[in-house]
Amino acid sequence: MAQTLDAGFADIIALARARLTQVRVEEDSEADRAILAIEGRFGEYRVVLKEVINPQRRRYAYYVLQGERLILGFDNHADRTALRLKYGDAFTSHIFDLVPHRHGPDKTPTILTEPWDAVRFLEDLDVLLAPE
Amino acid sequence: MTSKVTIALQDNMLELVQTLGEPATVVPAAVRRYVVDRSLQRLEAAEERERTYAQRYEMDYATFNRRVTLDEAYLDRLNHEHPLWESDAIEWAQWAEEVELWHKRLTQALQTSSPSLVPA
Repeated sequence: MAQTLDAGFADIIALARARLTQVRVEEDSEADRAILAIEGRFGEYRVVLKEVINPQRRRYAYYVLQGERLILGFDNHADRTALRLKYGDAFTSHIFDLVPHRHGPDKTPTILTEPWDAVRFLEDLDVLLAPE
Repeated sequence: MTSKVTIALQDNMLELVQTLGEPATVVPAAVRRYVVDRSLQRLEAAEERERTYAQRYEMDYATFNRRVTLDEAYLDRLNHEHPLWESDAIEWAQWAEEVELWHKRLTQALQTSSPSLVPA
């Protein structure tokens, strides 16, 4: 059997189990890609994470929801708002780029960020959800 | 073009291989068969996963990506109706890439000539 891609998922899963309750994990790894999906609860909030990693790219999406309402999100899939923030009027030339950004409550506002990772997201949940 | 590799085989497996022909012929044929089978499995799995998302969003990934990156009204509606759409999109992008990749690899494996197992 071929060795699977080492995407560091063991650390993320361990941290998720330490920080969240009612944790559900789905992992799908092959030699050339790895996908990790985690859902759990952080107090009154629902936390949803996904990582998709291959040798060329790391894609991610992390969310916090309260009931059905999105409170907070980090991802790097391009969307029109994030692309315009990053590239201005030239955004149409970059529709396949990864664009790390953050969404506020109900997806507004969108703010460009540096690339985030699941460990930082899980560790910073208290800070991210603290009242401003 | 060919390259040489050394493969360790258990003695009893080598004996079985020899019953089927010259190891130098049988082993490359077996490797080719393995690569074709695995490529087909990976292609079919990726196609199935890609189809799930295509049905959910009623379009292929290329169209979806164009719309979320260029069509403001569509993005607004998507954010309202599927606020976690990025979680689907990052995986969908992977499956779309894999379908293309494994299709290419399968074609390449099938085009590689198979050593004849028929004794000369």
